[in-house]
Amino acid sequence: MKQGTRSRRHALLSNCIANQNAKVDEYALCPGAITPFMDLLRRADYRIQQMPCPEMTFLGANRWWQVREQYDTPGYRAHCRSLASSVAQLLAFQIKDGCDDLILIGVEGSGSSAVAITGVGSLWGGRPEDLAWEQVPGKGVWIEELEAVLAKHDLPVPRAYGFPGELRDFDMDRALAEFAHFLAARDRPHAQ
Amino acid sequence: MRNSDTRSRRIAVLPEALMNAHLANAGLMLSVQHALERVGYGVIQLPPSGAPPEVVEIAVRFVVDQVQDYLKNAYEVVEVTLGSDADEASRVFRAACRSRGIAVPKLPVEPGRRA
Repeated sequence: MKQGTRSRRHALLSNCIANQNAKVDEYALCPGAITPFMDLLRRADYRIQQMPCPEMTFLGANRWWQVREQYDTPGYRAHCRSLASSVAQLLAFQIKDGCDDLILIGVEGSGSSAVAITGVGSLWGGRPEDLAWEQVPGKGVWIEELEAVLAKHDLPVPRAYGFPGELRDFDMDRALAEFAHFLAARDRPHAQ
Repeated sequence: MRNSDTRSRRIAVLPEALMNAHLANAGLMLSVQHALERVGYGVIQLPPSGAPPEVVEIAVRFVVDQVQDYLKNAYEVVEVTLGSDADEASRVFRAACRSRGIAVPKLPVEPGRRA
């Protein structure tokens, strides 16, 4: 892309992809940014809009692990809507000249940031201990609220991809190949 | 911190122009970003220049919320600044940090140079 031009491809990026410090303890894949993943976005000329981490901004860096049921509260949903409103306002500014593709990058396995496979555990709560939890089809609480707020602002519906770093069968090479394929499948343009 | 925690506990707050340096063929800026990532910095992006002030202010507030918690937990946070500090979001970020009594060291980059 030539200097001075504006990309019409936009990516709403989960905070932790560029900042693994936002992950809860033991879930970081690397010290800082997931550079190979970021490089795919860069090479495809996406304008990156990193979103604030809803879990980090609600419970802080020293939070416990959480499952979807624990995030599914009116207070956390209100927090998500507040963040999502800010994301939507920035996105509206960024795409004011048009949008050829809008993607949303979430985190699979998360009770908050999953786009397709979320983490649930009906027994979780009380004294911290190692309890069973499952990865099941579904969105995280943050993604549900974010998508609702984007729709309320009449913004384009993003194509969603969930980075599978929290899934039990995670493989980085396979994840990068899948994401490259996802980026190449820009078959539903959001012309404005 | 317990067990196998790989988090670097180092974070760089970046102007939007630096996060998206790949769109401007900005050689040095892109090199800076890669260098930060290579040495393990996580990055937090500021809102873009030119966005409405009220939109910038709210977005920056959430950035500062994160920075404040990281500093409370003894993470290292730096702010990467471009040239003459002309970026409005960076000014708002600094003002918000000052108002909360937060000190974030600057890491200046001269955007006119090529890598």
